[in-house]
Amino acid sequence: MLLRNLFYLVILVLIAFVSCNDEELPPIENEEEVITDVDLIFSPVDGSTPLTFGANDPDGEGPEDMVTDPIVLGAETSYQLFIKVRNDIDNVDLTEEIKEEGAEHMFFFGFSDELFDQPEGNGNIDSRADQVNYIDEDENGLPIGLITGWQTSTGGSGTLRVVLKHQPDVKTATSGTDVGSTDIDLTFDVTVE
Amino acid sequence: MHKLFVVVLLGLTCLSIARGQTKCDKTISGKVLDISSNEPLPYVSVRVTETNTGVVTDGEGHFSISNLCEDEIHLEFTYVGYKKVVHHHDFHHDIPTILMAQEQIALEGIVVEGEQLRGGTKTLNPELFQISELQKFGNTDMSGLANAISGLSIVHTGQNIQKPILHGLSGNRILLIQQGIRYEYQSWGDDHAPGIDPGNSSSVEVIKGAGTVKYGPEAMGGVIIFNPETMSLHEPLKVTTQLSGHSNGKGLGGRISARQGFDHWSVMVNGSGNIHGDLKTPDYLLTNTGMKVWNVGTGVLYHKANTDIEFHYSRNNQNLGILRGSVTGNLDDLALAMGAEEPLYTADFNYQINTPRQEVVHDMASIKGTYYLGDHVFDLKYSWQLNQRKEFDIRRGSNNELPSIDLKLATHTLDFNWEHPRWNGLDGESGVSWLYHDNDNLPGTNTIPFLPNYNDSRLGIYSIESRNYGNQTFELGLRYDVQFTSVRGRQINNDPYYNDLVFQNLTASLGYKLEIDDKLGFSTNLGTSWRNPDVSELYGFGKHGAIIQYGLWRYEDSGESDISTSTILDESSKPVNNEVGYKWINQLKWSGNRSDWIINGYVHLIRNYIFATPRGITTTTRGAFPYFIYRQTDALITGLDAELSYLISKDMTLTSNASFVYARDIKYQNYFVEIPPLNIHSQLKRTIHGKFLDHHIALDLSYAFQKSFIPEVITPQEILDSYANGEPLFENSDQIFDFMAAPPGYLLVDLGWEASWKKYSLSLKAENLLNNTYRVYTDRIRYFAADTGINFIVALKYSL
Repeated sequence: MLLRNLFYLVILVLIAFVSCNDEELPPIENEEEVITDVDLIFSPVDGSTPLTFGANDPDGEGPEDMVTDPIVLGAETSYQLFIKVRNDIDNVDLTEEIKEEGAEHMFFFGFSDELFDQPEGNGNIDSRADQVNYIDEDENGLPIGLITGWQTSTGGSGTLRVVLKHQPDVKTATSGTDVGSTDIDLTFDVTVE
Repeated sequence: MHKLFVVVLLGLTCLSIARGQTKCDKTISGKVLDISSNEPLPYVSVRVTETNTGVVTDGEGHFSISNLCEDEIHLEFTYVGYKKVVHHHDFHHDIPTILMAQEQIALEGIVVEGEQLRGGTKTLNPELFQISELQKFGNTDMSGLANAISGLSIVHTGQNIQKPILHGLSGNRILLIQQGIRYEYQSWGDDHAPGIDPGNSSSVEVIKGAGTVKYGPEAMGGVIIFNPETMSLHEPLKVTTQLSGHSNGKGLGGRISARQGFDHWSVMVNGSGNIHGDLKTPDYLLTNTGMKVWNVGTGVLYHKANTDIEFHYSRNNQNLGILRGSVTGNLDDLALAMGAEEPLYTADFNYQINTPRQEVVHDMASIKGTYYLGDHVFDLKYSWQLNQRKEFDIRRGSNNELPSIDLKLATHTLDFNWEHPRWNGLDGESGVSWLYHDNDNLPGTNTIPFLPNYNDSRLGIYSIESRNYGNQTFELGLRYDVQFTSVRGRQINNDPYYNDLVFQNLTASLGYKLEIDDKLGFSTNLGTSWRNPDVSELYGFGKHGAIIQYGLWRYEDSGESDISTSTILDESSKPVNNEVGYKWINQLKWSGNRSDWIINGYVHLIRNYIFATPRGITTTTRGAFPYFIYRQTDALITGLDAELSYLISKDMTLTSNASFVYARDIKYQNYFVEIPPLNIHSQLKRTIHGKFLDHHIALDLSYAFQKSFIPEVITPQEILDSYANGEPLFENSDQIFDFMAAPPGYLLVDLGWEASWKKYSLSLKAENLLNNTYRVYTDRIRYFAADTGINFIVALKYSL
C-alpha cells in the first residue's frame, strides 16, 4: 500500500515538474520570410484609375495552392506597373525591404508577344538581354523592377510571368534568372481588350 | 508495473550489509603487453610496493600474486628497454592489462582496467576502438571511426556535418554516450551533427544490439560510447601536444591534454581546435565549406577507500559552413543547381563562413559517485547539458544575419545503478533513471518557429540478470519507461496551441552466450526497444532546409489530391503509436594466435517507423515546392558485418571490415533513402625497425559500392514537367523517391607514415591519394557537388 502510494507520488511529482515548471510559449515572430501576397498595380500614364490584380497564397508554407487574379488591361494604353509584396498572415509589407536591398534583388518578366507593343518580344526571363522597361534602379545603377513601363497592343490574350530573384553578391548587368534563388515566381492570365 | 517497483525496492532495503573484513586472501592477476605491437611481454618484473613481494610474467605475459592483505596496492612494472609503469590497484576494479612502452618511443605505458569496458551487458558485448590509432595522423573526425568499425557509417551534409549511422539507423534511433551520459542534442534533423570530437576520447565502444533495457529509449539500433580519458591515481604529470596542418581547406588543428594523479586525486584537462577554409574537390572549390571548431574539457577523480567521485565538464563550439550552391529556392532552382557542372556561386578560396551555416555550442557537466559496499557497487550520476543551436539560412536583407532556427535545449539526468554480488548464481544490476528536457525557441528569428517549445520528463526503471552454466551464459533484462511531454506552440498566424502527452513502454531483452572453446565464442541477443514520436515528427511545420515538411499532427489526409493543414490534431483525432523495435543480433567471435575475427548478423523489425515522404506539390508565391509529410509504417532492416585482423608477420598486420545493410518498408513496399551501401575497408600496417627510429606505415583501401535497393528516382525536372502536363506524379501517396540516382562505386586510397624519436613523433598522411572524384550516397550535398579531393596532413606530436 505504501509502495503504491509512493508510486503515485513519484508520478505526480513528475507531472508537476513538467507542467508547472515552464509555461512559456514560443515568442511571437513576424513572418518576414514568407511572401503570401503579391499585387500588380497597373497605373495608366494618363492618370485614370489604377487597376490592381493580386496573387494570394492563403497559407504560406501550407499545402494550399496559389490563387491569381486574371489580368484585364485596356488596349493601346501606357501603364506603369507597380509591384507590392506582403505577408498577409502577419500583416508585414515587404516591398520597402526589397527596395532597400535593391542591390541584391531583381524582377524579371516573361509574357506572350501579342500582349504588348512595348516592351517588344517575350521578356527577359529566357534571356537577360531582352527588352524590359525598368523605371527604378538600385545603388549600382542596375534595374530592380518594382516599377516598370508597359504599352499594351491592340488586343490579345496570353500570360505574364513575374520572377523575383534574390542575388546577393551576384547581381550584375548580365545576371539573369539562372542566378540566385527565387523569391517570387508567378504566372497570370492576361487579356488585352 | 507496481510489482517491478516492489522487487527493486525490496532488493535495496533487504541488502545484507556485510562489510568486508581484512583477510589475506586477495589475488591480483593481469597481463602485460607491448603498447605498439600488442605482443605479450614475458619476464617483466612485477612488484607490490607495500609488501615488497614480486613475480615475473610468464611466456604469455600473465602474472599473478596471491595472499595479499591490503585492499589497495601499488604495482610496479619494470622491464629492460621499457619505461617503468606504476599502477594503483584496488580490488573493486577488474583485472588490469598493462601496456608498456619502449624507451625510445613517445608513448607512455598505460594500464587498461576491465572497468573501462563497462558498456553493454553480458550478451551484448561492445566492440572497442582505441582513439590513439586515429590521433596518430592528426585527423580524428567521425569518418575515421566509421572506417575502422564495421556497421558504422556517416550521414553527411558535406564534410563538416557528420552524423553516425549504425546498422542503417541514425539520429534519435541510436544513442550516443559521452562522459558516461546520454548525449542530448537536436537529434531530429539529418543535418544536425553531434558536437563530439572523438579525438578527445580515449576509446570508443560500439554496442550493436538494442540497448534500450540498459540505456533507455532511442537506443534502438545500438549505442556508441565515447569514453573520456582515463584518470589514474599516482600518475606522474603527462602532457601531450599535437599540431597538425592539412592541405585541403588549408586547415590547422591543435590538441593539448594534461593529466596527473596524486594519492587520492587525479586531474585531467584537454583542449582542441580545428579551423579550415573552403575545401576542394579534384575539379572545383566548395565555396563556404569552412569550419571553426573548438573543445575544452576537464575531469577530476577523487578516490578514497570505498568511494570514487568523478566530475567532468566539457564545452564544444562549432561554426560550420554549408556549401553555398546546395541551398536552393523552388523546384526550378533545385533543377538548375543539380544540373550545374560546378556548384553555383563557386568563388575564390576563403576562410570566411557565410550563410548557410550552423553555430552550435554544447556544454556538459556531470558528477558521478561510485560506492563499493562489500561486493555491491552503487553508482549515482547527475548531469546537466545545454545545447544551443543556431541555423543561419540565406535570407533577404538584414534577416541574413539572423538565425532562422534558434533553439536552446537544457537536459538534466539523474541515474542510479546498483550492481549486486552473485546471488544464487545470478549476476545483475538494477537502476532508475530520470531525464528532463526543456526545449525552447529563442526570440528574434523573424520567422514562425519550425518546432513548438516543449518539456519532457521521463522516468525509467530496469533490471538485468544473468546466470552462468559452465561455458554458457543466459541473460534477461526488463525495463519500464514513462514520459510526460508538455507542448506549447504557435500556428502560422501566431495563435497558440497546447498539448500534454504521456508515453510509456515496457521493454525486454533476452540473451545467450556460449564460449565454444577458448578461441571461439557465440552470442545472441533479442531485444525490444522503443522511442516516442519526436516533437518534430508530430508538430514540425514549414520549411526546414530545402523542403517543406508537415508533422503527423499538422495535416489531415483524406486521400484526395491535396491535404489540409488548417487544424492541429492530437492523440484522440489521430493516434500516433510509439516506434517499437525488435532487434535480433548474433555474433560469432574468434580470437586466435595470429587472427581475430567477428561476424555479426542481425534482423531488426521496427513497428510504427516514422519517416517523411513526399506527398505533393504546393505552389507558393515563390513557385512550386514539393512538400513532405511524416507517416508511420513498418520497417525491416537486416544486415551483416564482419571484421578481420590477421598478423602476417611480427611487424605486419592486415585488418579488414565490411558491412551490408538491407532496409525495406514492408507495409507500403518501398526502399528507404540514405541507407549506406555495401562497403569494404582494409588496412595494411607495417612497422620498420630502423637504426635510430621505428617507422610505422599504414595503407588504407576503402571501396564503397553503388547503392542498390533504392527507391525510384524522380528528378525535379520530371516533377515540374508532370505538373505542367497536368499529370501529377504524386497520385500514389505511398511512394518514396529520391531526386537523383545513387552515385557510382568508388575507391579511396590513404597512405600514412609515422616515426617517433624520444618524445617527438611526426606523421604524414595522404587522404584520397588517387585524387578520385566521388560522391557519397549518404551525403546530402551529393546532389550538388562531388566530395573532397586529395588531402595531405602533417602532424607533429610532443609528449612531456
